[in-house]
Order: sequence, then structure tokens, then C-alpha cells
Amino acid sequence: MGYGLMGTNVMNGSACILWHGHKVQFDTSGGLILNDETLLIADLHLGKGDSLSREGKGLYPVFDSLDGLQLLENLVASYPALKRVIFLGDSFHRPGSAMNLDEESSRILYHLNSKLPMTFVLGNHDPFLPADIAARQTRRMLLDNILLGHEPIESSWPMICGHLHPVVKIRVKGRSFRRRSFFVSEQHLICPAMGRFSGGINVTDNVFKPFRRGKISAWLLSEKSVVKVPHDKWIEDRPRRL
Amino acid sequence: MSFLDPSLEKFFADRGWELRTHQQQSLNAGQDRRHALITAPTGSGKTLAGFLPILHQWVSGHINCDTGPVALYITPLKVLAADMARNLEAPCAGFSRPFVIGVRTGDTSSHERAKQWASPPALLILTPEQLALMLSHPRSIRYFSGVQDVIIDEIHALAPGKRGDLLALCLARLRCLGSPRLVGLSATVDDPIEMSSWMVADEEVVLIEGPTAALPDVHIVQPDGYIPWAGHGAGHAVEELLELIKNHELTLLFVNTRNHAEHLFAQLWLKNEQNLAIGLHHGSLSRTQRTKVEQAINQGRLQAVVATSTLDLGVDWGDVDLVVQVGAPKGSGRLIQRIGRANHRLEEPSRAFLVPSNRFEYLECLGAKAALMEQKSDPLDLHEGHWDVLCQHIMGRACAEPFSKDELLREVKKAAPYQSIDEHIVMECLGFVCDGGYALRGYEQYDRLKEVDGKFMVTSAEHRRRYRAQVGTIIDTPMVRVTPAKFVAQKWRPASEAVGEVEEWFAASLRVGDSFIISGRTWAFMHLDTDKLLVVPASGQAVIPSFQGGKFPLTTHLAQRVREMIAEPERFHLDNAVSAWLDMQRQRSALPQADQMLVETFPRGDRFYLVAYPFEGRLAHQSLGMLLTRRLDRLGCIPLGFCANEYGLAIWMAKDAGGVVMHDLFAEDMLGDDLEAWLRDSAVAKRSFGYVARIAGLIGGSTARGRDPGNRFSPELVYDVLLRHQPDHVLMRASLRDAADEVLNLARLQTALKRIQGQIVHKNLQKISPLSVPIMLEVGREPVFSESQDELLEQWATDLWAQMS
Repeated sequence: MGYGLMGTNVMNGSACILWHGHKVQFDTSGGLILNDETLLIADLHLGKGDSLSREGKGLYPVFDSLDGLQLLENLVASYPALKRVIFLGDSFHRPGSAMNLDEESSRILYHLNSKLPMTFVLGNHDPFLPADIAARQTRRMLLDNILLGHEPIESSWPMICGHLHPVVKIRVKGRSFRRRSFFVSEQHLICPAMGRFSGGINVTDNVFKPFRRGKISAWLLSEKSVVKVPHDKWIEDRPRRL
Repeated sequence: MSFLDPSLEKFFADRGWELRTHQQQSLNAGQDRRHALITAPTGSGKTLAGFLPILHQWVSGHINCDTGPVALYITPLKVLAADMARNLEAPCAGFSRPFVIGVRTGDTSSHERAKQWASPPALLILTPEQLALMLSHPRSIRYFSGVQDVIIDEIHALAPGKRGDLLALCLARLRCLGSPRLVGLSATVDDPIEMSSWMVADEEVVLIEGPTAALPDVHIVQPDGYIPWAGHGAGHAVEELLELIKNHELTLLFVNTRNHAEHLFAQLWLKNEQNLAIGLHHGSLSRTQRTKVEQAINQGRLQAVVATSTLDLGVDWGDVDLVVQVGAPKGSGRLIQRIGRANHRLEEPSRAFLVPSNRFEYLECLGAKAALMEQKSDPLDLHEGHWDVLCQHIMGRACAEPFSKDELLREVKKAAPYQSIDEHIVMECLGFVCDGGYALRGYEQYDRLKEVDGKFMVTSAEHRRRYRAQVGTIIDTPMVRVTPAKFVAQKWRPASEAVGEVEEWFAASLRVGDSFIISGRTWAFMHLDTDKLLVVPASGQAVIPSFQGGKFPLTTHLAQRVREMIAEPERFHLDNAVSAWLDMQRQRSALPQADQMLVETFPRGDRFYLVAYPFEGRLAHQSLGMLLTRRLDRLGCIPLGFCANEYGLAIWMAKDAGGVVMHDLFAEDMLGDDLEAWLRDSAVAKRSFGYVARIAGLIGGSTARGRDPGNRFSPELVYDVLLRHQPDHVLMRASLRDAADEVLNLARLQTALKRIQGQIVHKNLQKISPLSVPIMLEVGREPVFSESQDELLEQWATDLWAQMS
């Protein structure tokens, strides 16, 4: 089954596609809205700054959690039709991170939790989570005949997942841009990382190879809109030769 | 007049030497326990002058090294350390009490280090980083309390930059632990008073000047009076160079970048029909390769060496009888230093040839030659101390012993670069070292320092260990080793030792089969094996590795001389392609006076150009280009791009800027508020933050890599988040300062804009001018700058959209 473009939203810059008969909306923040009702968030890595400092890797600021959660709060507010939020794994950088959030971040998370039902798909960074924060947790789930999980796997269902932190690189008038992006293929839709301290892997990298089947594209997140980047416009991470 | 101890007297007598005036003055300063700055040319016995006081004190028997060394010798390069130890053996040989010399660099074994703590040598030779490391040890308090003299060699090379800041803080600490006398040694100092006040700001320093050397004998190479229009090579002069090499014992050929070194080396060998023994020496070659070249030089097996700044300072090669500078000298100080590498006898002139690779460089060479004849060096570029270095020092200080706020302030202000630092900044740095200094504080578990009874102390031994693993201000780019390989049993495997190193990003940019030059040979890339780049010998066209770094800016002092030459070329009797070129420029456009700036506008192809010649160096011109294009955009000229070189900048536009009032365009207020706003969002500030964060200890090790995507990220993301939540964090401000200063060179730009107010000569031309040709040749080769990245993206998306529908 292929997918078709439905259009872009001039108000918030998001882009819409039809994928396996579902309306899939890409928000500029990296959030994915499925059939107007479900917000999917991948790789938020809450508490990463805090974890790194605890591990003695430096003295990172802890603002990344607050920043990520504020982003999420805004996202939820701008899509009033939402009925649920599903996190696609690695929501917390460490299982213990959930207990160590700063006050303001905890407040936002608690507030969101009370507003919309949240489900936590577990990832490699958060293989288990405390029940008071994540009442609903699962390794994978089916929603409207779409498989939701953290790491992309082979399956007869079309799958929406995260884990790989896709970024796409393009060249425009001699300048190259490397930005977070959605990766879309026939069977897989891989979301960019929402975490503020998350790097990314180029969609041309070999880790994406098993999932590059059928018609593929990347959807680049710019400040104002989500831009479709056809496969032939992708470039590899080859630093410019001076 | 003081009298030398008999054993030293004998040392001088045995060699038929007499105590020179500056050596006597140094002895006197030692006896009076006054700090001294000794400036003297190479070969004048400057180093001995620095050491005489402590040797004299040692043999007269009033001091001992039971608790720690009596003297420290600080050297910028570790290769110099061993050399210095060898050189001191002779004068110390006749002593009744052995004067033990210890060397401590990054290469010193842990066993040796432990021995140096337990039974201290009389003299310890070390680098600034090693000093910082030792000072972070609690034992250092007693160990360094008896130090009499601290001798700082090549002080002009150590003082500028972050490394100088670190050293200054260490020197201040030493002066708090005991009462050492500081002795600075330097060959080239434009302003000894300024230099001495960097060394010690709060006490008097005796300035001692050595004898003046014979003026060097400098020639400029211009085969048949021809100098190329543009470029950076010496292709036009290779035959002349080979001829020079043939007629000398040992020639040092200096170039400005490693890239140029490889290129010149390849060009020389291509035409080296007589098989002259020519070697190559630069920082990207493997340690063994470099040692091999150094040995070959010592054994007299080489006739010439192509080198970068790695051979600027340091080891005496003795037999060098000719120095050649290929490409722009950039500054007279560096040139004096380089020429000093030839002929270490004072009374004989050193011989040097300058090879300009283009016409502006020719003028620059002429200016440098004139400066050399006047023995005029470049002014030091000293600045207020960097804050990230202060953070690092505070951590080191805490590792040694707990301190109070007042003690810290007193010590920090004893270091000249920090003498007038705002108290609040020191406290903010302290706050950062303690817990990150973030408004939204995390948890006490990871605080590095805690305050107990008004004293700050390190919370765990682990933090000490981490500090010691990361001390220093030189941030290395990750490198991979270039290793020749063989295809054995279905796999590429290393076949011999590495031949050199290239930056990791360069390695990542290669495709299998791509060939490139390193250590003078062409190699084809076969396989990348984590830290090894496996290669096989290849032939044919090669990509030259574009090593980063090594681009020195044209100094203000030389720029002024170049402007003077352009104003009145007749005074300098150029009589070659360059004079014809300037003549033509005068007829077709204008030659600006030394205090004026020329701006030309002309159409070419379907574009309109604006070319300006401020002569302020590439960095300042790039910043100027960025600011000017914003203004031209507002004026409706639709700027499309610009390129900058050392001498000027060219902007191309869709509309004619001939009618623009240049005085308004170049008005000083362009460095106003929107610059600050732009800078905060710019990539340069983010990049600076990456360095600042590492030096200050915000980021440890390399978190940017790893297999799990969840662990990858760059420090720039921390910048983005901090910008949103705490834009006034001390490290954010530190990185803005660094970006403005080091990357954008805004201070220099500001001075330049002030200088040219009311002094702009605008020529609205029908066609390209002779003076603009060199930079116009670079148009298109340099990356185009544009500040509004997302605008470009939007435009691209719209275009793509239009194509699709």
C-alpha cells in the first residue's frame, strides 16, 4: 500500500499524508498525530542532562527535561481533538530519571497525565518505569491496525516507531542543512527524537537500510514547516572539503 | 658587579667566554630577588642568562631541594624539554653539589613522576599543562613552597590565548605558595613593558635587553619579475627553490598550513631531478615519522625540510644556513622567529628568502622585510582572561586544598589577565564549578564542590580524577591514523606503522578508492577501521587533505605597512609585475591613501559587485561581509553572496549598488544591537560554546559518539537549551565573548570601522578593476555565506512544491 500527500497546514506548518489509509500529521516539533486523535512522541530522553551529570560526565544543565515537556504541553494544547498520548520509547534517559525530574517538569508531566491518557511504550533506555508515572506501559501495541513500538522490527503490520533518531541532510544553494526528520517507507514510519539533547543518524546510514522498502521519503523539520525531501535529494554525512 | 662562583667561572673560562652584559644584569636581578624579563636574539646566551642566578645561588649553597625543586623551567613544547635538560648538563658538570634536572611532560612515565614527588630534582622542566596538573595535587603546597626561580621560555608564544591564561593562573598560585622570582625569556617582543606586565602585574619587573643581532639578509623570490595573480602555492618558483636548496647546507622551508606543506613537498619532488634530500615535518605526521625527520636533520642527512609552525620554536638544528618562507608571512614577529632558526651566530646575518604566492602577498613580504630591517615585531594581542579557563583553574585549585572566597579572589587577581576581572564573574565561575550554576538546580548528589565553614572543597576523589584527565586548554579534534594495509584472508589488515594522521571528519568524507597525499606520498583509501584509515600506495591525481587550523591572521602592523605601499608604490621601487599592476589600478580606478579605504562597484556578467579593501584579515572581513549583506539587503540590492580573503571582500548582488552612499553603508553602528541578537543565534557562538563547555568542564569526554542513537548528541544542543532557559549563564556569556573575539574578530573590525569614517573612497566603475582581480578569482571557490538559513530552506521547499504540482 502506498501513501499519498494530503497537504500542509498553513497555520502551524505541519504536513499531512495518507499512510495505509490513516491520516498521519507531522508537526514541526517532531510529534506525529495519527487520525487527529493520537499524539505519538518518540525518544524524549527526559532527564538526560541530569543523568549525564550524575554519571560524572560533566555538569550538564537539567533544562532539557523542562524544555521537552514544555514543547509537549504546547503540542497538546494546539491539537484540541487529541484523545491520547503514546510515547514510543526512550521517554526517559534512565529508568530512574522519572523519579529525579525537577519540580516544574514533574508538575507539567503530572498535569498532562491528568488531562489525557498516556501510554508508555518501553525502550532500550527505559526498559521499566515506575507505575505512578507510567500507569500504562507496554513493549508494543496495535492501534488502528498499526503496530507501535520503540525499535523498528519486521512485521506484517505497518509500524510507527522511534529509536533511530532520523535526520536528513540536504544541500540548498551550496549550503547543507542537517535536520531532524520523519522517515517514511512502505512498512515503517520512524519518528525523530523529541529529546532536546538528542543527536541523530542520517537516513542514508546503513541502520535504515532494512527499512528502505517501497517508496521512501524523509520529512524535514524546519522552524516554520515540515518539508518533504524525496529520496534523490538526500545526501550522506560528507563534510565539505575546504 | 657580582662575582661568579669559581665552578661557573671555570665553565666560562674553559670556553673562552666572558660574562655578557645581559647575563650580568640577570645575575644582579637574581641577587636583588627581582623579577626579570630578558629579551635577546637567538644565539646570544639568553637561556644561560636566565639560568645563571639560580645556578649561582645553588653553588653558593644557601638553598636545597629537600622538599621540592628550587627552580622551574616552563617550556611551550615538550620536545624542547629534553633538549634543554641536555644543554644544561655542561654548565652544571663542575658543581660540587649535583644539580639534578628532572623533565616532566605528557610522555613522562608514572614511575618517573612518582620519583619526582618523592625525591625532587633541583630543577624541574615542564609544560604549563603539567604545572597545572601538579598544582592540583595537595602535595604541591609544600613541594613548590621553596621554589626560587620560575623561568618561562618563549614567553611571547605562551602568553596569548587560553594557554597563557592557564599559565598566568598557575604562576599566581605559585606566588601564593612561596615567593618565587619570575624570569621571562623571549626573542621577539615589540613592547617589553606590556610583556612584563603580563608576567607580573603587581610587582616590579627588571627589563633586560641582550645585544642586537646582525640584521638578516632577506630576499624576495620573483622569478623573472613575475608574481601570480592569486593562489597560495609556490608552483611558479619551484626551480628557484631547488637551486637554493642545492647551494646550501640545510634549508628550512616554512609554510603556513599543513595542506600547503604537503603541496609544496609534492611540487618539489616532482621536479627534483638531482635527488636532493628533502624532508617534510608537520603536526599531522605520526610521531615516528617526525622523529625520523628530526634524526635525519641531526645527522646531516637532509638538505631541506618543508615545515609548518611545528619547527617555529625550539630545538636548535645548528646547521641551518637558509630559511625560506613560502606564502604570506602574516606577521613580522613570526618571521623574525622563523629566520632566527638559521645561523645561531649573532654577528653574522641570517639568510632568508621570501616566496610570495600572489601579488598582495608580495606587498606583505615587502612590508615584513622592512619590519625586519627595523627589527619591529608585532604588538602582543593580550586580552582579559577567558572565563572557561578560570573555571578549570578553580576546580584544580579545589583539588589541591579547600579555599575561601576571599583567598580565591586574591589569588585570581594576582594573575595579570584577571587582575581587573569583575568579582561577580569569579563568583559565577565558582558557582558553575560547584553545581553548574543553573537557575534550575538539580540535586546535590552531583555537586563537585561543597561549602563547609566558608571553605570550598571537592566532594569526591572521582571529581579529582576527572579534572586531572581533562586539564588543559588545547581541544583536539578526533584523528584517525593513516596506516598502509594489505589484503590478507578476505580482509584489509594493517601492514606497517601509521604514516600520519588526518581529522576524523576528513576520513569520513572519503570513498573507497579516493586518493590523497600525506607524508609526501599518494595513498588510496581502502577501509576505515575505527581509529585506522587503511590505505595502499597509489598514483595519479589526489585530493589534498584539507587539514584545519594553521591560518594565522594578517597582523594589524603588517596590514598598515601594506596600505602604505599601495598608497605610494613609487617609494618602494617595486619594478616588477606588481608595480605594473598598481599603475594600472591607479589609471583605471584609484590607489587609496594609507588612511583611506577603497570601495569599488562594477557590473560583471549578470551580477553587480561591491569590492572593499580594509586589509584587516579574513575573519574580520567575513564578519563585515555578514553585516554588509544585511544592510545591502535592506537597501534593496539583493545580495547573493560574498567572499573574503586576508585583504578584502567582494559581495555580489542582483541590483547595482553604485548609488549607495558608502559612508552610511560602512557606518559604525552596524555593530549595534542586532549584531548581538544575530550572534546569539549563530553557528559561531554554538561552536565556541562547544570549546568553552569542554574547557570549563561542563562536558566531559566525547559524548558526541557512540552506537546507541540515544547517547549521541553535540554540545551545541546544550547551547540551544541554555539559550532558552538561562541565556545569561556565565558559560553562555563566555562563549559569546569568544565568538566575537576569536571567530569574528569584532574588536579589530570595530577599530577598522572607526579608522575609515570619512575616509572612504568610492569608485563606481564600468568594469572590474586590477586590484579586485585576486579576490574576484576566489569568488565561487569559497563557500557562500548567508545568515538566514531557514529562509533558504523555506525558499527551497516552495520551489520544490512548485515543481511537484
